[in-house]
Amino acid sequence: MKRVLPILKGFAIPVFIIVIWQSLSMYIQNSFILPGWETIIPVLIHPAEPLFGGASLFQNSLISLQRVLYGFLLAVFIAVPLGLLCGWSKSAEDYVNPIIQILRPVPPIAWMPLAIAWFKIGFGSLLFIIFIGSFFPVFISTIEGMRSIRIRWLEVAQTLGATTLEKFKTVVIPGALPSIWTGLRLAFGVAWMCLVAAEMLPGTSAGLGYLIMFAYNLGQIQVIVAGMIVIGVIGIVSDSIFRIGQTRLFGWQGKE
Amino acid sequence: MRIWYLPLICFLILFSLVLGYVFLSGVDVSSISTEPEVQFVYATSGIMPQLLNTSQVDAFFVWESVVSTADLGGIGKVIARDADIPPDRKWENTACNVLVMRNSFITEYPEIASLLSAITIAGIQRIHEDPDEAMNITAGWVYGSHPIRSAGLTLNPIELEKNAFPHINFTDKARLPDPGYLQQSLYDYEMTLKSPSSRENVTVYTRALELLTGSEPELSHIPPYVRIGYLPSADLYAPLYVSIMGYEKICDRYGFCLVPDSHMSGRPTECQLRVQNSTITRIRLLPGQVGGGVMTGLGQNAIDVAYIGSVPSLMQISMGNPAAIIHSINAGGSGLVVDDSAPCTDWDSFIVWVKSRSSSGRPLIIAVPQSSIQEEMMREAFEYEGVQISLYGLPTFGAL
Amino acid sequence: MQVLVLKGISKRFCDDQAEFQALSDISCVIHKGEIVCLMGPSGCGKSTVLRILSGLESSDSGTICGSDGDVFDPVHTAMVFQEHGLFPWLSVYDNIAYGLRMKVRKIPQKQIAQKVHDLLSLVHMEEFANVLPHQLSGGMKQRVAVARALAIEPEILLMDEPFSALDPFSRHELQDEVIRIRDTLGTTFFIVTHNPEEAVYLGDRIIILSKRPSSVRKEIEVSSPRPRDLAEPEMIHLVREVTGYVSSG
Repeated sequence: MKRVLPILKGFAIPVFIIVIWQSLSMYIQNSFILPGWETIIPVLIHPAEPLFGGASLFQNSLISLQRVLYGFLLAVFIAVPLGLLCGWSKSAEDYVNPIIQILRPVPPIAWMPLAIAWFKIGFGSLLFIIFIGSFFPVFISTIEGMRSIRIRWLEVAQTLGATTLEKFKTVVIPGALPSIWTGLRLAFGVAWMCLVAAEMLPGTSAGLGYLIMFAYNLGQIQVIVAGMIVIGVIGIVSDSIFRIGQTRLFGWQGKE
Repeated sequence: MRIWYLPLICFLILFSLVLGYVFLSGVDVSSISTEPEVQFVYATSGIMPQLLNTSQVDAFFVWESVVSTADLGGIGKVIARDADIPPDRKWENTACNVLVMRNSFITEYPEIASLLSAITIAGIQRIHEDPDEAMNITAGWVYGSHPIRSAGLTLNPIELEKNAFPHINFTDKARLPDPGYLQQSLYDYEMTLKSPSSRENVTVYTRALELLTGSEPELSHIPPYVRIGYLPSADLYAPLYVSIMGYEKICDRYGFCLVPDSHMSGRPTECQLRVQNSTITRIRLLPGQVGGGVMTGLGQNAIDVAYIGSVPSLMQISMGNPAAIIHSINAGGSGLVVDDSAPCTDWDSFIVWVKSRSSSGRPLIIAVPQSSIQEEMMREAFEYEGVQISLYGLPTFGAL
Repeated sequence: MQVLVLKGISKRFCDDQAEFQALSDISCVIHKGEIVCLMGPSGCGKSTVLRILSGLESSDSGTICGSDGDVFDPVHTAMVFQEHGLFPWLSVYDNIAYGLRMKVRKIPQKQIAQKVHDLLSLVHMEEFANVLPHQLSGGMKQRVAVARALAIEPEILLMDEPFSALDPFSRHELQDEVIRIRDTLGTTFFIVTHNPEEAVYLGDRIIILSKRPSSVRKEIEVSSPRPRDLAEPEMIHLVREVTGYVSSG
């Protein structure tokens, strides 16, 4: 019972919202403002049925998830080594930092017109947008992670005979990993949001963002709400995976 | 050293996803076909010239003045207009854009609805009376009268409109299209959620014609303001632009008109509905991005009146949007643009090109605005020519 | 036998504003198997001496010679810091094995396992091999740190105020442990401490530095037999003497 109670508490507000939503929707009687759950739920419980003659809800989610993973992993494979380099070498940081700081506040979606010209409509430009969105959190938290490494650990490693490379492998990377992991978690969230937003822009023909935009053009608000729920659920599931990983892998963090 | 499992786990996730994807798409057996094929890309009108110029699409089919921008800007050549698109000049006098109103607005303020319709018809008349003034107003509204840069060339907006206007037939009498092919493309979606009572509302139009022939407006019930949605990037809404910017002549002739709040701007955001020199109500002009979005806004009570494409409004009305079409504002105004080097000069040679490219395994990519009359025209025309349509970039799934 | 001979070691530090002489002229000799305690007023550079010996810093002048009379190689030292400095992401076992796994040592995997088990039993931590450091008490962590340092078989084990952060009980336990380890393995200990009782209890010899810029002010031999009892008058006298030298700088 003690375990179930917090979960029940978590469900209380969503249930409350759904009840209020449903009663309001029955009162307003306008499916463009508040579609009833009797129209939203059928969309959700038939995820494999094609929507608007195109891909199904399930396929659209899979396509979005796949895009986001490619872009995210691309960003990780570039941002982590670059962050490690900039955290390790002051000179590298001096070179890289100003441009990073200028580009960081630019919303990834603002790159879309250029991305379409450089990387073509469809997969290439979306990949670029996701890359831009997830690069900075990973890069910055990698540098942060490098900063959080105690000099004492490096000294211990040195007195025990570690070479520079060995220090890097056995102290710097494991010491910075918790922070990098936090960066990955943040970045995945950002990437997911960027993707859905980018898919709403022209040039896509599948994905959850596309589905929402298509539904908007057709005035099918219940499909929009169903899409939003799926986006949220995928977001929360991926975040919990990262969170579980964090407690499993870095239980030592903040406890020494 | 368990930390080194992390990259491994990442790789495993990626690998399984790729594997899953390959597996799922590998069982595809349906798309093997010997029929010629083209691919559609949905794009907004604004980026279509860029897409053609960067060879990302082979052709685009869209409305004026985007077509003229590409034509005069050296981006491509126009090989077909509405009348050239099969079957058999069907589209020449088919409504491309219409005036739509929400049913509840019509019911509550029938006289205001009729006045707005009458002013729109008056705007259409003004375009025919003084095309030069109409082009100036439209150039100012759409482009702010500033020169337009296009792929290295600088275009004069007035010249652009001179090129565009002859291809648009401004009329309130065009018949409505039947977006059957578009609806068919959404075949598996329940289109008939609610059967629409009627697509058109004739009483508003009839009363508008009466108002134009001298009947006195009966102003008993007046809304505090009226919200009008439209797409500011198209020439096709010139009747709206002309009725507002050229209000003086309409005021003089009929006694009612839309007067812009600011005479400084070529694209006002607010104006007043005046009858016999007294302000009746305020009008807010709300620019939208796509017709479907404006239509959804209409359903959401965020917009009362809209000037939008006939197909998006018909589709939404058939799916239960409580609105009605009052009358058309134009027919035609679309153009098919291809690269200057493309081996075609008209529709027939275009179809030859489509077929040869399809058989060489690189089907043509054509950009169209999503759920527009242009998409409907292309769908019907390619059906007529026996060409299959697929969506560009859509992964193929088989057994899913 | 001499394991370490320091002659005229000096060290200057520069920071943004100022430059100061930390060590002016440190000379001393350390013999094999000795426990030498290094004391001095705070800020006199005790730790700097250890850091120079461990190779973390270099001296500006002076020579350090090893047992064979050649220049001393810091590879032969290991260091235990005040705050254990264990790697929090490694288990106790992996922490101890850390130094053994470095390439310079070229120790085969099997031998490492044997060695780590020996060390675990030496510091009575056998049951904790797979535990992460944050689950251990302060005294246990410092045992692991000592074991980790001993693993690489240093000629001389440097300890920088190793027990000052511990509670009195764990501190006494670990002090006895040091003596026991010296007796079993014959390791030489060079321990910086600010606690006169600790110096008198542990040290075979106590070297006291002067104020900055420091040099060796006094060397005191402690020849009392072990186990020592700090309550004995002789010991009390010695503690007082050491305290006097340290506080008067």
